[in-house]
Amino acid sequence: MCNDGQQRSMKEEGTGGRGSRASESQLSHTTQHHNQNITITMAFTQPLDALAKIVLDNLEYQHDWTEVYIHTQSNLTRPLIYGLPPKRLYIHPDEQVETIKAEKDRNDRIPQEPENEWVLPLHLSEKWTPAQFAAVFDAIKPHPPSSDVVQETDNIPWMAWRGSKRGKRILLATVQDDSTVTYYWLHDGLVKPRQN
Amino acid sequence: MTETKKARISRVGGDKYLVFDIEDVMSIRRNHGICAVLTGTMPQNPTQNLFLGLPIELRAEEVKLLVDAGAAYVVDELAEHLTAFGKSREEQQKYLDEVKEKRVLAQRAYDEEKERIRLLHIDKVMAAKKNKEKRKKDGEVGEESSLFSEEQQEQEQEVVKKEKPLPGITPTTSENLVAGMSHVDAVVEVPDHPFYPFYKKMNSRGYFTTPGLRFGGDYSVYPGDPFRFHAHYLANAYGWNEEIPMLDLVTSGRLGTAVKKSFLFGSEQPAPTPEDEGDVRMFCVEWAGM
Amino acid sequence: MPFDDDNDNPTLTPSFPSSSTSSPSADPLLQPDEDEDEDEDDDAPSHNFLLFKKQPNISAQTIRKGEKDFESHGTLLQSSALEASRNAMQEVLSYSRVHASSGATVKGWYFPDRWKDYVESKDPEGKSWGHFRDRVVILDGSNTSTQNLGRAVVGQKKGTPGRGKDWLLPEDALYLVERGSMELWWPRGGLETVFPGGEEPKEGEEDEYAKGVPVSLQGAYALLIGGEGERGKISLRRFQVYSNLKRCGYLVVRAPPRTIEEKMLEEGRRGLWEWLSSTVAGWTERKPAAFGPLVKPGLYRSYAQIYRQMALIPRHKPLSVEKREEMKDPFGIHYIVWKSAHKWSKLRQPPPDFYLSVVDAQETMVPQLGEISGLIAATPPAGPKPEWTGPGRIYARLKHGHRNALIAVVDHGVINYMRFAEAAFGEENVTARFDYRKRVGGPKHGGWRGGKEVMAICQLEQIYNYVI
Repeated sequence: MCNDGQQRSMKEEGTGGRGSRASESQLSHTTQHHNQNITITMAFTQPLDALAKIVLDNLEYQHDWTEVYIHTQSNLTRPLIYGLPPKRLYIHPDEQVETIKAEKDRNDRIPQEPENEWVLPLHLSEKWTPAQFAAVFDAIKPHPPSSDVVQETDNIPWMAWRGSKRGKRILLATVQDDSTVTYYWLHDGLVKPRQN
Repeated sequence: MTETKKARISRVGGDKYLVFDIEDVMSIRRNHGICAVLTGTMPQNPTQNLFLGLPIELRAEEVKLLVDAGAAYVVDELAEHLTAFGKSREEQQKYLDEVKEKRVLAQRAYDEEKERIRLLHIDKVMAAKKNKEKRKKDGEVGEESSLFSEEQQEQEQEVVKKEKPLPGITPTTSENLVAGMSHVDAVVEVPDHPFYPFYKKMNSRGYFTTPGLRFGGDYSVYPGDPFRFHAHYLANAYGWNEEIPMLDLVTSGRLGTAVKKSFLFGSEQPAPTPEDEGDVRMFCVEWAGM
Repeated sequence: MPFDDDNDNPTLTPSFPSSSTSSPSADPLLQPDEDEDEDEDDDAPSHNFLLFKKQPNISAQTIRKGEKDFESHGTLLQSSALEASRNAMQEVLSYSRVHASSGATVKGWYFPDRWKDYVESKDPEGKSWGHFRDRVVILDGSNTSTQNLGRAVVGQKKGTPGRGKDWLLPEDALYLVERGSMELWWPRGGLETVFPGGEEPKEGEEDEYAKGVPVSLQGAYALLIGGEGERGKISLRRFQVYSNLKRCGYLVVRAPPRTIEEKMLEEGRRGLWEWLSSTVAGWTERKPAAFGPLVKPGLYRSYAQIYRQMALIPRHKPLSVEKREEMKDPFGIHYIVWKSAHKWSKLRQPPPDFYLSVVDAQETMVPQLGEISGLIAATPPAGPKPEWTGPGRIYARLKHGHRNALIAVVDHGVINYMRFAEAAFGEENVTARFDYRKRVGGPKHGGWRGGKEVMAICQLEQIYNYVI
């Protein structure tokens, strides 16, 4: 699944420098945050950990994400990542319509605070089946663990999109051999396209 | 619900499905959310490709959907026609009468039109005469126009004198020729199609689809009749355990975003028991903008 | 604005390079003038017998009126606009094809087996290939739409029924029926009942149906559409492409079978000497030493000397003669296409403008290199125009290539045209320009030249490291 380049980067791990720093941070993240209902398994093969690390670094250092954590779960075949982007990454077209309506009514802009997002690290050379994608979605909740789920108020429709109306979505972080990472949304179910 | 006539789907060339009857075309568009593709030359405007004429070509999935819904039947149109053409003239009389009747109507429409143009022409000639007289008064010569119109009038009179045969007609369908045959002899089974569960799900949700070639997918998916709406998705159907290269997801996602669409892929999740129908899972890919 | 669907769809008209349709009635929305009695300036269409009247005012705009919406809002405005479009569509498609009443009706009679055993050989007089085995409709009468279609089968004895008449290929016949230019008839008897020989009898109304049955559009499709390569038939995919191109005003002719194609190419083959010299002048293989620098350190006075040593990868050299490669199904040349009828006749045709392959989007994968090169090898050399010289036209030359073939990909009636050309990057000597510039500077400016040389040597060291 992974190529030689990644194998090599795995071997470098622990010999100091960048590799070990990243692996330490991964360890601390997992121990800090997932001791409630999630068991840490050692079943992950090393290349997958390396893949997650590349994406994690890319999110933190290239895209200025904060509170980025690696997330492992016994029913997931590989680690996921979640974190907080610097600005809000996804607004559903219907939410946008409702926000515009609400802004008109209150005659003021509604601030768009960023939301925590799920990230699925992948390598470009991989092939995934619909069954695999479905398994990932079935294993996660719409909100990543650290999210402060908005206490939705039914009479504020635009707010519900941050709460119960939020669908399951995950960022596909596709890593290339040269460590370029491209990000695409993957939504669970039919989600109409954004118009802008 | 009113009982509507079943649409006739012509199977030609072994595995291609066409619909020729405009009533059928409209009814499957209005009642079954299938617009399909108009593929024929429009006899009124035969030198353009912007809007084409009958027949429409259906996908195998669409055919299956219509047949399963009891809204259509499929015939092997070649077998049907070879039988029908081989029949006696008496047996073909209904069809021949239809053709003849249409020829008479066409002649009347033609005559009516010609009369209208003639009147229009007379008006023009009168106007031209007036003009000429006026110009003569002004000292100009207008001989050419008067010569021309007289000549033409003569020609027209000559044409009227000849007893002309009725204009020919090409009916769009052979309905009256093959009437009563098809339900027995030539009705054919529609093979199962791997995309069918996905297609059926989209159709049941009110989506219209057109061939996806324009955007490099299996389907373009519209939230209603494509006459009124832009496509929301370019879509592919996959098997539940079919491996999709990540590069395909990225390129399709990228292409979709460039044309304001989302890349949708779907697959039938096998049912836990054979009696159940499998659920169709859908996933949508969009560029994340980062 | 990003391109969207239907209205501004690039696939609706073939996007051939420099597609200038020079057919007189090529304007997409112009009414053709073949029906001499139709007048143009009617703004009050006859309210009776609408179904038999051409409606010049109906166009794509009438049916697709106004801007499309993003999604349904359930408004009356939306639903009534949709209803209007659907009604316009229904009205325009309810039209029945009417043929001229002036007695100049063009008829085609379906005799599918008349020439099924005909053995055709390459005509020594250089006439184009006739495909006579596949000609199944005999043409009686003519009009502007039939003039470039049909071929007479020569060598028939005097008195043979239908002798001297043109025979149509299935695609020609179906296209003529579809555009309302020909009636297709199913004969009740043999050719002799349709063409009894001698003077043609005056046709009375009554006798007409004794000879045969007029075939509907549906019937014409049933009889003439067949499987891929089926004798006397045309596949739906190829017919859709053929008629799409015809509507655009192109002249479209079935490509000769492969064996004939090769013979034709053979005739186009230039002399052996040219073939030899083109090989010699091309790539001469160098074997660099197994060890050591790729470019020997030293003082170089021209870039050409350096780059020559660096040329490691064999480059493709387009040859003026055809390569012996097999076309691989389904990627064969199916149609040859001309942009205009200028200097064109059924029997003698100028070199085609396009070579076209038709494939089904659902049944075909993207062609592999071998399939593409096999396809392209079946076309004659068609290099860039001689006037495309100099570095400014480098991309024009590369893009145009040295031979090319078009592939029409058909997805349930939607057609996409793609052009595949044999590019030759090795023919573009980019490095020659570097030396050219130096000469412009003049040999006397020693200092300037020296600087360049030093730079060249520095670059070499980098390359050296890289290769090792």
